[in-house]
Amino acid sequence: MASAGSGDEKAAAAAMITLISSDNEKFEVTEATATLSQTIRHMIEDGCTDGGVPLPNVTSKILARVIEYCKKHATAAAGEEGSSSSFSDAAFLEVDRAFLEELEEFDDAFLEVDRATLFDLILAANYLDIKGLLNLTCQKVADSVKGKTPEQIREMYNIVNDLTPEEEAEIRRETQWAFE
Amino acid sequence: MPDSGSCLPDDVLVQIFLLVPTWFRRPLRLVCKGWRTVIDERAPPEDNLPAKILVFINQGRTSRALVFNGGSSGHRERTRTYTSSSDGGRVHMVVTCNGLLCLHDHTTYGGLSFSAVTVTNPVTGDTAALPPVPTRWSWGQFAKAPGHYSFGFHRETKLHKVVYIPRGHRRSLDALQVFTLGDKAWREVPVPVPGACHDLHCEPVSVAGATYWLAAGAAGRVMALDLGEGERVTSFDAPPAMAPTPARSASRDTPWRLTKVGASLGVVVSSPRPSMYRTRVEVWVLDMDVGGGGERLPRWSRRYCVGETAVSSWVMAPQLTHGDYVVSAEHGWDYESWRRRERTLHRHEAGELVDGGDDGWQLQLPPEKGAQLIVSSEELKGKVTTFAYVETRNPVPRNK
Repeated sequence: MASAGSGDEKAAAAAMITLISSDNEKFEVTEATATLSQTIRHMIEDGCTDGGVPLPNVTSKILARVIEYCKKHATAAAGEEGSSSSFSDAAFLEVDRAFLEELEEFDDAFLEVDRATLFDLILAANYLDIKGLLNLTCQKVADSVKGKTPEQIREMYNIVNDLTPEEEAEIRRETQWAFE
Repeated sequence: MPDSGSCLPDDVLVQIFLLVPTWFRRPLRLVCKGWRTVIDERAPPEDNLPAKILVFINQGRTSRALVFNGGSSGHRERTRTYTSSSDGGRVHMVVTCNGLLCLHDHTTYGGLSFSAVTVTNPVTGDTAALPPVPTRWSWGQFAKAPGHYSFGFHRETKLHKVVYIPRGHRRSLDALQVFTLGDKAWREVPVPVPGACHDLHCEPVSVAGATYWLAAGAAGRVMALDLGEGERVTSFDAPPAMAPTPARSASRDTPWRLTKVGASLGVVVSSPRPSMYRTRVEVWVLDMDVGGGGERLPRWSRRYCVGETAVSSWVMAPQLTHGDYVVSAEHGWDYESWRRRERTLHRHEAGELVDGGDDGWQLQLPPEKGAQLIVSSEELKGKVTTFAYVETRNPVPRNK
Protein backbone atom coordinates (compact mmCIF):
# COMPACT_ATOMS: atom_id res chain seq x y z
CA MET A 1 0.00 0.00 0.00
CA ALA A 2 2.75 2.42 -0.88
CA SER A 3 0.21 4.74 -2.41
CA ALA A 4 -1.00 8.26 -1.84
CA GLY A 5 -3.41 7.01 0.81
CA SER A 6 -0.69 6.06 3.26
CA GLY A 7 -0.32 9.60 4.60
CA ASP A 8 -3.97 9.72 5.64
CA GLU A 9 -3.69 6.27 7.11
CA LYS A 10 -0.82 7.30 9.30
CA ALA A 11 -2.84 10.24 10.53
CA ALA A 12 -5.77 7.91 11.30
CA ALA A 13 -3.47 5.46 13.01
CA ALA A 14 -2.02 8.23 15.12
CA ALA A 15 -5.46 9.19 16.48
CA MET A 16 -5.58 7.84 20.01
CA ILE A 17 -8.61 6.96 22.11
CA THR A 18 -8.64 6.67 25.87
CA LEU A 19 -10.67 3.83 27.38
CA ILE A 20 -11.52 3.97 31.08
CA SER A 21 -12.23 0.73 32.96
CA SER A 22 -14.76 0.33 35.77
CA ASP A 23 -11.93 0.65 38.31
CA ASN A 24 -10.86 3.92 36.69
CA GLU A 25 -7.74 2.74 34.94
CA LYS A 26 -6.97 4.53 31.66
CA PHE A 27 -5.85 2.74 28.49
CA GLU A 28 -4.55 4.59 25.44
CA VAL A 29 -5.24 2.74 22.19
CA THR A 30 -5.14 3.61 18.51
CA GLU A 31 -8.41 4.24 16.76
CA ALA A 32 -7.76 1.22 14.51
CA THR A 33 -7.59 -0.99 17.61
CA ALA A 34 -10.59 0.60 19.33
CA THR A 35 -12.89 0.41 16.31
CA LEU A 36 -12.84 -3.40 16.35
CA SER A 37 -15.53 -2.68 18.91
CA GLN A 38 -18.71 -1.63 17.13
CA THR A 39 -19.86 0.09 20.30
CA ILE A 40 -16.80 2.33 20.38
CA ARG A 41 -16.88 2.81 16.59
CA HIS A 42 -20.37 4.30 16.93
CA MET A 43 -19.19 6.54 19.77
CA ILE A 44 -16.33 7.81 17.61
CA GLU A 45 -18.71 8.43 14.72
CA ASP A 46 -20.98 10.36 17.05
CA GLY A 47 -17.96 12.35 18.24
CA CYS A 48 -18.38 11.58 21.91
CA THR A 49 -14.97 10.16 22.77
CA ASP A 50 -13.30 13.37 23.93
CA GLY A 51 -12.12 13.01 27.49
CA GLY A 52 -12.08 9.22 27.23
CA VAL A 53 -14.63 6.44 26.89
CA PRO A 54 -15.90 5.17 30.24
CA LEU A 55 -16.61 1.41 30.24
CA PRO A 56 -18.40 0.83 33.55
CA ASN A 57 -19.05 -2.85 32.75
CA VAL A 58 -15.41 -3.84 32.17
CA THR A 59 -12.69 -4.21 34.80
CA SER A 60 -9.09 -3.18 34.06
CA LYS A 61 -7.96 -6.82 34.16
CA ILE A 62 -10.44 -7.81 31.45
CA LEU A 63 -10.04 -4.61 29.45
CA ALA A 64 -6.28 -5.22 29.23
CA ARG A 65 -6.96 -8.66 27.73
CA VAL A 66 -9.56 -7.30 25.34
CA ILE A 67 -7.13 -4.63 24.13
CA GLU A 68 -4.45 -7.27 23.68
CA TYR A 69 -6.86 -9.18 21.41
CA CYS A 70 -7.90 -6.07 19.47
CA LYS A 71 -4.32 -4.93 18.87
CA LYS A 72 -3.37 -8.28 17.40
CA HIS A 73 -6.46 -8.51 15.23
CA ALA A 74 -6.33 -4.86 14.12
CA THR A 75 -2.86 -5.58 12.73
CA ALA A 76 -4.30 -8.64 11.03
CA ALA A 77 -7.07 -6.59 9.42
CA ALA A 78 -4.54 -3.99 8.20
CA GLY A 79 -2.33 -6.79 6.89
CA GLU A 80 -5.19 -8.25 4.88
CA GLU A 81 -5.88 -4.93 3.19
CA GLY A 82 -2.21 -4.48 2.47
CA SER A 83 -1.79 -7.84 0.83
CA SER A 84 -4.65 -7.40 -1.61
CA SER A 85 -2.59 -5.06 -3.80
CA SER A 86 0.06 -7.73 -4.29
CA PHE A 87 -2.32 -10.63 -4.61
CA SER A 88 -0.34 -12.45 -7.26
CA ASP A 89 2.88 -12.28 -5.32
CA ALA A 90 3.58 -15.77 -3.98
CA ALA A 91 5.98 -14.45 -1.35
CA PHE A 92 3.25 -12.25 0.07
CA LEU A 93 0.81 -15.14 0.17
CA GLU A 94 3.41 -17.13 2.04
CA VAL A 95 3.75 -14.32 4.56
CA ASP A 96 -0.04 -14.19 4.88
CA ARG A 97 -0.24 -17.85 5.62
CA ALA A 98 2.46 -17.61 8.26
CA PHE A 99 0.64 -14.64 9.76
CA LEU A 100 -2.70 -16.45 9.84
CA GLU A 101 -1.07 -19.39 11.58
CA GLU A 102 0.47 -17.03 14.09
CA LEU A 103 -2.95 -15.45 14.64
CA GLU A 104 -4.49 -18.87 15.24
CA GLU A 105 -1.77 -19.67 17.78
CA PHE A 106 -2.41 -16.33 19.44
CA ASP A 107 -6.14 -17.10 19.68
CA ASP A 108 -5.47 -20.53 21.17
CA ALA A 109 -3.09 -19.10 23.77
CA PHE A 110 -5.51 -16.23 24.45
CA LEU A 111 -8.21 -18.73 25.44
CA GLU A 112 -6.01 -20.40 28.05
CA VAL A 113 -7.89 -18.75 30.90
CA ASP A 114 -9.99 -19.91 33.83
CA ARG A 115 -13.74 -20.15 33.51
CA ALA A 116 -14.51 -16.89 35.35
CA THR A 117 -12.17 -14.92 33.06
CA LEU A 118 -13.67 -16.60 29.99
CA PHE A 119 -17.16 -15.52 31.05
CA ASP A 120 -15.96 -11.98 31.78
CA LEU A 121 -14.37 -11.88 28.32
CA ILE A 122 -17.65 -13.03 26.78
CA LEU A 123 -19.60 -10.36 28.64
CA ALA A 124 -17.08 -7.69 27.63
CA ALA A 125 -17.06 -8.82 23.98
CA ASN A 126 -20.86 -8.78 24.01
CA TYR A 127 -21.05 -5.31 25.58
CA LEU A 128 -18.35 -3.85 23.34
CA ASP A 129 -19.76 -5.71 20.33
CA ILE A 130 -16.49 -7.25 19.14
CA LYS A 131 -17.68 -9.92 16.79
CA GLY A 132 -14.46 -11.90 16.43
CA LEU A 133 -13.79 -12.05 20.16
CA LEU A 134 -17.38 -12.99 20.98
CA ASN A 135 -17.31 -15.76 18.42
CA LEU A 136 -13.95 -17.04 19.67
CA THR A 137 -14.98 -17.15 23.32
CA CYS A 138 -18.45 -18.57 22.63
CA GLN A 139 -16.87 -21.30 20.50
CA LYS A 140 -14.69 -22.22 23.48
CA VAL A 141 -17.78 -22.68 25.67
CA ALA A 142 -19.63 -24.52 22.89
CA ASP A 143 -16.71 -26.96 22.49
CA SER A 144 -16.58 -27.52 26.24
CA VAL A 145 -20.23 -28.64 26.51
CA LYS A 146 -20.21 -30.80 23.37
CA GLY A 147 -20.78 -34.45 24.24
CA LYS A 148 -20.87 -33.84 28.01
CA THR A 149 -23.65 -35.11 30.25
CA PRO A 150 -25.96 -32.49 31.80
CA GLU A 151 -24.45 -33.38 35.20
CA GLN A 152 -20.90 -32.71 33.98
CA ILE A 153 -21.96 -29.39 32.48
CA ARG A 154 -23.67 -28.26 35.68
CA GLU A 155 -20.54 -29.08 37.63
CA MET A 156 -18.29 -27.36 35.12
CA TYR A 157 -20.28 -24.13 35.06
CA ASN A 158 -21.65 -24.11 38.56
CA ILE A 159 -25.27 -24.32 37.44
CA VAL A 160 -28.02 -25.36 39.81
CA ASN A 161 -30.45 -27.91 38.42
CA ASP A 162 -33.84 -26.26 38.90
CA LEU A 163 -35.79 -28.83 36.89
CA THR A 164 -38.20 -30.97 38.87
CA PRO A 165 -37.77 -34.76 38.53
CA GLU A 166 -41.06 -34.81 36.57
CA GLU A 167 -39.81 -32.18 34.11
CA GLU A 168 -36.55 -34.03 33.73
CA ALA A 169 -38.36 -37.30 33.04
CA GLU A 170 -40.47 -35.56 30.40
CA ILE A 171 -37.47 -34.07 28.63
CA ARG A 172 -35.79 -37.46 28.66
CA ARG A 173 -38.86 -39.00 27.08
CA GLU A 174 -38.85 -36.38 24.32
CA THR A 175 -35.17 -37.13 23.74
CA GLN A 176 -36.08 -40.72 22.84
CA TRP A 177 -37.90 -39.58 19.73
CA ALA A 178 -36.43 -40.59 16.48
CA PHE A 179 -35.46 -37.80 14.19
CA GLU A 180 -33.55 -37.13 10.95
CA MET B 1 -22.87 -18.03 42.05
CA PRO B 2 -21.33 -15.01 40.37
CA ASP B 3 -19.87 -17.09 37.55
CA SER B 4 -22.71 -19.48 36.91
CA GLY B 5 -23.60 -20.38 33.34
CA SER B 6 -27.02 -18.87 33.80
CA CYS B 7 -25.54 -15.41 34.38
CA LEU B 8 -24.82 -15.03 30.69
CA PRO B 9 -27.41 -12.97 28.84
CA ASP B 10 -29.83 -14.95 26.66
CA ASP B 11 -28.40 -13.45 23.47
CA VAL B 12 -24.99 -14.83 24.35
CA LEU B 13 -26.41 -18.23 25.33
CA VAL B 14 -28.16 -18.37 21.96
CA GLN B 15 -24.89 -17.65 20.20
CA ILE B 16 -23.16 -20.42 22.18
CA PHE B 17 -25.93 -22.96 21.55
CA LEU B 18 -25.91 -22.19 17.82
CA LEU B 19 -22.21 -23.10 17.79
CA VAL B 20 -22.99 -26.53 19.26
CA PRO B 21 -23.94 -29.01 16.51
CA THR B 22 -27.67 -29.71 16.77
CA TRP B 23 -27.09 -33.42 17.50
CA PHE B 24 -25.27 -32.39 20.70
CA ARG B 25 -27.75 -29.65 21.59
CA ARG B 26 -30.70 -31.79 22.66
CA PRO B 27 -29.17 -33.10 25.95
CA LEU B 28 -28.29 -29.51 26.93
CA ARG B 29 -32.01 -28.99 27.56
CA LEU B 30 -31.54 -31.11 30.67
CA VAL B 31 -29.04 -28.74 32.32
CA CYS B 32 -31.51 -26.23 33.80
CA LYS B 33 -34.79 -24.45 33.09
CA GLY B 34 -33.13 -21.38 31.61
CA TRP B 35 -31.13 -23.38 29.11
CA ARG B 36 -34.15 -25.44 28.11
CA THR B 37 -36.23 -22.36 27.43
CA VAL B 38 -33.50 -20.60 25.44
CA ILE B 39 -32.78 -23.71 23.35
CA ASP B 40 -36.44 -24.47 22.64
CA GLU B 41 -37.31 -20.90 21.75
CA ARG B 42 -34.23 -19.66 19.99
CA ALA B 43 -31.92 -22.55 19.09
CA PRO B 44 -34.06 -25.66 18.65
CA PRO B 45 -32.38 -29.00 17.97
CA GLU B 46 -33.07 -30.50 14.54
CA ASP B 47 -36.20 -32.46 15.33
CA ASN B 48 -37.82 -29.26 16.55
CA LEU B 49 -36.79 -27.38 13.43
CA PRO B 50 -39.33 -27.13 10.66
CA ALA B 51 -38.43 -29.62 7.93
CA LYS B 52 -38.35 -28.18 4.44
CA ILE B 53 -39.08 -30.00 1.21
CA LEU B 54 -35.97 -30.35 -0.91
CA VAL B 55 -36.77 -31.26 -4.50
CA PHE B 56 -33.70 -32.56 -6.32
CA ILE B 57 -33.76 -32.69 -10.09
CA ASN B 58 -31.14 -34.43 -12.18
CA GLN B 59 -30.60 -32.56 -15.41
CA GLY B 60 -27.51 -33.93 -17.07
CA ARG B 61 -24.32 -32.30 -15.89
CA THR B 62 -26.04 -29.82 -13.61
CA SER B 63 -28.54 -30.79 -10.96
CA ARG B 64 -30.83 -28.44 -9.08
CA ALA B 65 -31.91 -28.48 -5.47
CA LEU B 66 -35.07 -26.47 -4.87
CA VAL B 67 -35.93 -25.81 -1.24
CA PHE B 68 -39.58 -25.20 -0.31
CA ASN B 69 -40.96 -24.08 3.01
CA GLY B 70 -42.44 -27.13 4.70
CA GLY B 71 -45.08 -25.13 6.57
CA SER B 72 -48.47 -24.00 5.41
CA SER B 73 -47.12 -21.45 2.92
CA GLY B 74 -45.05 -23.93 0.89
CA HIS B 75 -43.29 -21.08 -0.90
CA ARG B 76 -39.95 -21.58 -2.56
CA GLU B 77 -37.05 -20.36 -0.45
CA ARG B 78 -33.96 -21.03 -2.53
CA THR B 79 -32.38 -22.83 -5.42
CA ARG B 80 -28.94 -24.32 -5.55
CA THR B 81 -27.22 -25.92 -8.49
CA TYR B 82 -24.62 -28.65 -8.40
CA THR B 83 -22.45 -29.20 -11.44
CA SER B 84 -20.45 -32.33 -12.08
CA SER B 85 -16.69 -31.93 -12.22
CA SER B 86 -16.60 -33.67 -15.60
CA ASP B 87 -18.45 -33.13 -18.87
CA GLY B 88 -20.31 -36.41 -18.97
CA GLY B 89 -20.87 -36.54 -15.23
CA ARG B 90 -23.99 -36.26 -13.14
CA VAL B 91 -24.49 -35.18 -9.57
CA HIS B 92 -26.89 -37.34 -7.56
CA MET B 93 -28.14 -36.50 -4.17
CA VAL B 94 -27.65 -39.49 -1.88
CA VAL B 95 -29.64 -38.11 1.01
CA THR B 96 -29.98 -35.28 3.54
CA CYS B 97 -29.30 -35.82 7.22
CA ASN B 98 -29.14 -33.24 10.05
CA GLY B 99 -28.92 -30.42 7.51
CA LEU B 100 -26.01 -32.04 5.68
CA LEU B 101 -26.29 -33.13 2.05
CA CYS B 102 -24.45 -36.18 0.76
CA LEU B 103 -23.74 -35.77 -2.97
CA HIS B 104 -22.42 -38.32 -5.44
CA ASP B 105 -20.71 -37.04 -8.56
CA HIS B 106 -20.67 -39.94 -10.99
CA THR B 107 -19.09 -40.22 -14.43
CA THR B 108 -18.67 -43.06 -16.85
CA TYR B 109 -15.77 -42.61 -19.18
CA GLY B 110 -14.65 -45.14 -21.77
CA GLY B 111 -16.68 -47.85 -20.11
CA LEU B 112 -15.19 -47.05 -16.70
CA SER B 113 -17.07 -45.51 -13.86
CA PHE B 114 -15.79 -42.88 -11.42
CA SER B 115 -17.37 -41.65 -8.22
CA ALA B 116 -16.68 -38.70 -5.94
CA VAL B 117 -18.72 -38.42 -2.76
CA THR B 118 -18.92 -35.22 -0.72
CA VAL B 119 -20.81 -34.21 2.40
CA THR B 120 -21.71 -30.53 2.56
CA ASN B 121 -23.72 -28.07 4.58
CA PRO B 122 -25.13 -25.70 1.97
CA VAL B 123 -25.85 -23.03 4.60
CA THR B 124 -22.24 -22.62 5.71
CA GLY B 125 -20.52 -24.04 2.63
CA ASP B 126 -18.60 -26.43 4.89
CA THR B 127 -17.71 -29.42 2.68
CA ALA B 128 -15.75 -32.64 3.14
CA ALA B 129 -14.69 -34.84 0.22
CA LEU B 130 -14.55 -38.53 1.03
CA PRO B 131 -11.64 -40.65 -0.17
CA PRO B 132 -12.58 -43.09 -2.92
CA VAL B 133 -13.84 -46.52 -1.90
CA PRO B 134 -10.77 -48.86 -1.60
CA THR B 135 -9.37 -50.52 -4.72
CA ARG B 136 -10.56 -54.03 -4.10
CA TRP B 137 -13.97 -52.48 -4.39
CA SER B 138 -13.43 -50.44 -7.42
CA TRP B 139 -13.75 -53.30 -9.84
CA GLY B 140 -17.37 -53.10 -8.91
CA GLN B 141 -17.22 -49.41 -9.75
CA PHE B 142 -15.71 -50.03 -13.16
CA ALA B 143 -18.87 -51.68 -14.30
CA LYS B 144 -21.35 -49.37 -15.92
CA ALA B 145 -23.37 -48.83 -12.80
CA PRO B 146 -21.53 -48.71 -9.49
CA GLY B 147 -23.18 -49.81 -6.28
CA HIS B 148 -25.20 -47.44 -4.12
CA TYR B 149 -24.25 -45.00 -1.42
CA SER B 150 -26.31 -44.14 1.62
CA PHE B 151 -25.78 -41.73 4.51
CA GLY B 152 -27.21 -41.96 8.01
CA PHE B 153 -26.88 -40.87 11.61
CA HIS B 154 -26.78 -42.98 14.73
CA ARG B 155 -28.31 -41.06 17.54
CA GLU B 156 -26.75 -42.73 20.57
CA THR B 157 -23.17 -42.65 19.27
CA LYS B 158 -23.69 -39.28 17.47
CA LEU B 159 -21.86 -40.71 14.45
CA HIS B 160 -22.60 -40.00 10.80
CA LYS B 161 -21.77 -42.84 8.44
CA VAL B 162 -21.65 -43.14 4.68
CA VAL B 163 -22.36 -46.69 3.53
CA TYR B 164 -21.31 -48.10 0.18
CA ILE B 165 -23.25 -51.15 -0.99
CA PRO B 166 -21.38 -52.65 -3.96
CA ARG B 167 -22.99 -54.41 -6.89
CA GLY B 168 -21.64 -57.64 -5.51
CA HIS B 169 -19.63 -60.24 -7.41
CA ARG B 170 -22.03 -62.32 -9.51
CA ARG B 171 -24.73 -60.60 -7.52
CA SER B 172 -23.70 -62.07 -4.18
CA LEU B 173 -22.62 -59.64 -1.50
CA ASP B 174 -20.22 -60.59 1.29
CA ALA B 175 -19.21 -57.18 2.60
CA LEU B 176 -20.03 -53.47 2.60
CA GLN B 177 -17.81 -50.44 2.99
CA VAL B 178 -18.53 -47.94 5.75
CA PHE B 179 -17.01 -44.48 6.22
CA THR B 180 -17.54 -42.75 9.55
CA LEU B 181 -17.34 -38.97 9.12
CA GLY B 182 -14.28 -37.82 11.03
CA ASP B 183 -12.33 -41.00 10.23
CA LYS B 184 -9.64 -41.19 7.59
CA ALA B 185 -10.55 -44.38 5.76
CA TRP B 186 -13.33 -46.71 4.69
CA ARG B 187 -13.81 -49.88 6.70
CA GLU B 188 -15.04 -53.23 5.47
CA VAL B 189 -18.10 -54.56 7.25
CA PRO B 190 -18.91 -58.23 6.59
CA VAL B 191 -22.37 -59.30 5.49
CA PRO B 192 -22.79 -62.67 7.24
CA VAL B 193 -26.11 -63.39 5.57
CA PRO B 194 -25.92 -66.33 3.15
CA GLY B 195 -27.14 -65.50 -0.31
CA ALA B 196 -27.15 -61.77 0.38
CA CYS B 197 -27.27 -59.65 -2.73
CA HIS B 198 -28.24 -56.19 -3.85
CA ASP B 199 -31.18 -55.12 -5.98
CA LEU B 200 -29.47 -52.41 -8.00
CA HIS B 201 -32.76 -50.99 -9.24
CA CYS B 202 -33.69 -49.97 -5.74
CA GLU B 203 -31.90 -47.18 -3.86
CA PRO B 204 -31.03 -47.85 -0.22
CA VAL B 205 -32.55 -45.75 2.58
CA SER B 206 -31.06 -44.79 5.95
CA VAL B 207 -33.49 -44.11 8.75
CA ALA B 208 -33.51 -44.28 12.57
CA GLY B 209 -29.92 -45.48 12.91
CA ALA B 210 -29.94 -48.17 10.20
CA THR B 211 -29.30 -48.45 6.47
CA TYR B 212 -31.70 -50.66 4.52
CA TRP B 213 -31.46 -52.10 1.03
CA LEU B 214 -33.34 -54.71 -0.94
CA ALA B 215 -31.93 -58.08 -1.81
CA ALA B 216 -32.31 -59.00 -5.46
CA GLY B 217 -33.85 -62.10 -6.94
CA ALA B 218 -35.50 -64.50 -4.55
CA ALA B 219 -38.65 -63.53 -2.66
CA GLY B 220 -38.25 -60.09 -1.19
CA ARG B 221 -35.82 -59.69 1.66
CA VAL B 222 -34.90 -56.42 3.26
CA MET B 223 -31.28 -56.16 4.41
CA ALA B 224 -30.41 -53.89 7.33
CA LEU B 225 -27.11 -52.51 8.61
CA ASP B 226 -27.19 -51.21 12.19
CA LEU B 227 -25.21 -47.94 12.15
CA GLY B 228 -24.36 -48.25 15.85
CA GLU B 229 -21.17 -49.68 17.28
CA GLY B 230 -22.01 -53.30 16.41
CA GLU B 231 -22.56 -52.57 12.70
CA ARG B 232 -24.46 -55.83 12.40
CA VAL B 233 -26.13 -56.82 9.14
CA THR B 234 -29.43 -58.65 9.39
CA SER B 235 -32.24 -59.45 7.02
CA PHE B 236 -35.98 -59.86 7.31
CA ASP B 237 -39.03 -60.40 5.12
CA ALA B 238 -40.27 -57.66 2.86
CA PRO B 239 -43.98 -56.85 3.02
CA PRO B 240 -46.17 -59.60 1.51
CA ALA B 241 -47.29 -57.32 -1.32
CA MET B 242 -43.77 -57.48 -2.72
CA ALA B 243 -43.99 -61.04 -4.03
CA PRO B 244 -41.93 -60.92 -7.22
CA THR B 245 -43.18 -61.88 -10.66
CA PRO B 246 -40.91 -62.66 -13.61
CA ALA B 247 -42.40 -59.85 -15.65
CA ARG B 248 -41.31 -57.31 -13.07
CA SER B 249 -37.69 -58.28 -12.85
CA ALA B 250 -37.39 -57.71 -16.58
CA SER B 251 -38.73 -54.21 -16.28
CA ARG B 252 -36.25 -51.41 -15.82
CA ASP B 253 -38.80 -49.33 -14.02
CA THR B 254 -38.71 -50.89 -10.58
CA PRO B 255 -42.09 -51.85 -9.16
CA TRP B 256 -40.86 -51.21 -5.62
CA ARG B 257 -38.82 -48.61 -3.87
CA LEU B 258 -37.64 -48.02 -0.36
CA THR B 259 -38.70 -44.72 1.16
CA LYS B 260 -39.06 -42.85 4.42
CA VAL B 261 -42.46 -42.29 5.93
CA GLY B 262 -41.89 -39.85 8.76
CA ALA B 263 -39.01 -41.44 10.66
CA SER B 264 -39.82 -45.02 9.62
CA LEU B 265 -38.80 -47.21 6.73
CA GLY B 266 -41.42 -47.61 4.04
CA VAL B 267 -41.76 -49.74 0.92
CA VAL B 268 -43.66 -48.51 -2.10
CA VAL B 269 -45.14 -51.30 -4.20
CA SER B 270 -46.61 -50.42 -7.59
CA SER B 271 -48.67 -52.89 -9.53
CA PRO B 272 -50.01 -52.10 -12.99
CA ARG B 273 -53.70 -52.62 -13.49
CA PRO B 274 -55.31 -53.96 -16.61
CA SER B 275 -57.05 -50.66 -17.19
CA MET B 276 -54.84 -48.57 -19.40
CA TYR B 277 -52.23 -46.26 -17.88
CA ARG B 278 -53.28 -47.01 -14.35
CA THR B 279 -51.15 -48.18 -11.50
CA ARG B 280 -52.04 -49.16 -7.99
CA VAL B 281 -49.59 -48.00 -5.34
CA GLU B 282 -49.35 -49.40 -1.86
CA VAL B 283 -47.16 -47.97 0.86
CA TRP B 284 -46.06 -50.31 3.65
CA VAL B 285 -44.46 -49.04 6.82
CA LEU B 286 -42.09 -50.90 9.12
CA ASP B 287 -42.54 -51.01 12.86
CA MET B 288 -40.06 -52.68 15.14
CA ASP B 289 -41.77 -54.62 17.91
CA VAL B 290 -39.73 -55.76 20.84
CA GLY B 291 -40.13 -59.49 21.44
CA GLY B 292 -40.21 -61.37 24.73
CA GLY B 293 -36.45 -61.95 24.69
CA GLY B 294 -35.74 -58.28 23.93
CA GLU B 295 -35.16 -59.06 20.24
CA ARG B 296 -36.56 -56.70 17.63
CA LEU B 297 -39.30 -58.10 15.45
CA PRO B 298 -40.14 -56.36 12.22
CA ARG B 299 -43.82 -55.84 11.50
CA TRP B 300 -45.22 -54.36 8.29
CA SER B 301 -48.51 -52.55 7.99
CA ARG B 302 -50.14 -51.02 4.95
CA ARG B 303 -50.41 -47.26 5.42
CA TYR B 304 -51.64 -45.98 2.05
CA CYS B 305 -53.15 -47.42 -1.09
CA VAL B 306 -53.67 -45.02 -3.95
CA GLY B 307 -53.82 -44.78 -7.71
CA GLU B 308 -51.47 -43.30 -10.25
CA THR B 309 -52.03 -42.56 -13.89
CA ALA B 310 -49.72 -41.98 -16.78
CA VAL B 311 -49.95 -38.23 -16.18
CA SER B 312 -49.91 -37.96 -12.43
CA SER B 313 -47.67 -39.79 -10.06
CA TRP B 314 -46.48 -39.47 -6.48
CA VAL B 315 -42.94 -38.49 -5.74
CA MET B 316 -42.41 -41.45 -3.46
CA ALA B 317 -38.69 -41.70 -2.86
CA PRO B 318 -36.53 -41.42 -0.95
CA GLN B 319 -38.85 -39.37 1.29
CA LEU B 320 -42.59 -39.86 0.99
CA THR B 321 -44.05 -37.68 3.72
CA HIS B 322 -43.05 -34.10 4.47
CA GLY B 323 -44.70 -33.39 7.77
CA ASP B 324 -48.37 -33.45 6.87
CA TYR B 325 -47.75 -33.40 3.13
CA VAL B 326 -46.88 -35.56 0.16
CA VAL B 327 -45.77 -34.35 -3.28
CA SER B 328 -47.09 -35.33 -6.69
CA ALA B 329 -45.76 -34.63 -10.17
CA GLU B 330 -48.23 -34.14 -13.02
CA HIS B 331 -47.90 -33.82 -16.73
CA GLY B 332 -50.28 -31.55 -18.49
CA TRP B 333 -53.27 -33.31 -20.02
CA ASP B 334 -52.75 -31.82 -23.45
CA TYR B 335 -50.54 -33.47 -26.02
CA GLU B 336 -48.17 -30.54 -26.34
CA SER B 337 -47.11 -30.44 -22.70
CA TRP B 338 -46.90 -34.21 -22.65
CA ARG B 339 -44.58 -34.10 -25.63
CA ARG B 340 -42.44 -31.42 -24.02
CA ARG B 341 -42.38 -33.48 -20.80
CA GLU B 342 -43.60 -30.50 -18.84
CA ARG B 343 -44.74 -31.27 -15.34
CA THR B 344 -45.96 -29.46 -12.31
CA LEU B 345 -45.38 -30.32 -8.68
CA HIS B 346 -48.22 -30.28 -6.19
CA ARG B 347 -48.29 -30.65 -2.48
CA HIS B 348 -51.17 -32.62 -0.97
CA GLU B 349 -52.16 -33.27 2.58
CA ALA B 350 -51.07 -36.78 3.50
CA GLY B 351 -54.48 -37.28 5.09
CA GLU B 352 -55.92 -37.32 1.59
CA LEU B 353 -53.95 -40.48 0.84
CA VAL B 354 -56.55 -42.54 2.66
CA ASP B 355 -56.52 -46.27 2.49
CA GLY B 356 -58.62 -47.03 -0.55
CA GLY B 357 -58.78 -50.74 0.18
CA ASP B 358 -58.02 -53.14 -2.63
CA ASP B 359 -59.67 -50.80 -5.06
CA GLY B 360 -57.26 -48.07 -4.13
CA TRP B 361 -56.37 -47.54 -7.73
CA GLN B 362 -59.73 -45.90 -8.22
CA LEU B 363 -58.84 -43.33 -5.68
CA GLN B 364 -57.07 -40.68 -7.56
CA LEU B 365 -56.51 -37.18 -6.38
CA PRO B 366 -57.30 -34.44 -8.82
CA PRO B 367 -54.10 -32.42 -9.11
CA GLU B 368 -55.86 -29.14 -8.51
CA LYS B 369 -56.66 -30.23 -4.99
CA GLY B 370 -53.10 -29.69 -3.90
CA ALA B 371 -51.24 -26.40 -3.76
CA GLN B 372 -48.77 -26.01 -6.58
CA LEU B 373 -45.09 -25.77 -5.77
CA ILE B 374 -43.66 -23.09 -7.97
CA VAL B 375 -41.22 -24.61 -10.42
CA SER B 376 -40.60 -23.55 -14.00
CA SER B 377 -41.08 -26.14 -16.71
CA GLU B 378 -37.41 -25.74 -17.60
CA GLU B 379 -36.43 -26.84 -14.11
CA LEU B 380 -38.66 -29.86 -14.09
CA LYS B 381 -37.07 -31.79 -16.91
CA GLY B 382 -35.26 -34.66 -15.29
CA LYS B 383 -35.55 -37.25 -12.58
CA VAL B 384 -37.29 -35.79 -9.53
CA THR B 385 -36.61 -36.96 -5.99
CA THR B 386 -37.68 -35.34 -2.73
CA PHE B 387 -35.94 -35.13 0.62
CA ALA B 388 -36.83 -33.80 4.05
CA TYR B 389 -34.31 -31.12 4.88
CA VAL B 390 -33.67 -29.06 7.99
CA GLU B 391 -31.56 -25.92 7.70
CA THR B 392 -28.82 -25.95 10.33
CA ARG B 393 -25.34 -24.54 10.81
CA ASN B 394 -24.07 -28.00 11.72
CA PRO B 395 -20.43 -28.50 10.80
CA VAL B 396 -19.41 -31.50 8.73
CA PRO B 397 -17.87 -33.80 11.40
CA ARG B 398 -14.09 -33.96 11.02
CA ASN B 399 -11.12 -35.34 12.78
CA LYS B 400 -9.50 -32.62 14.86
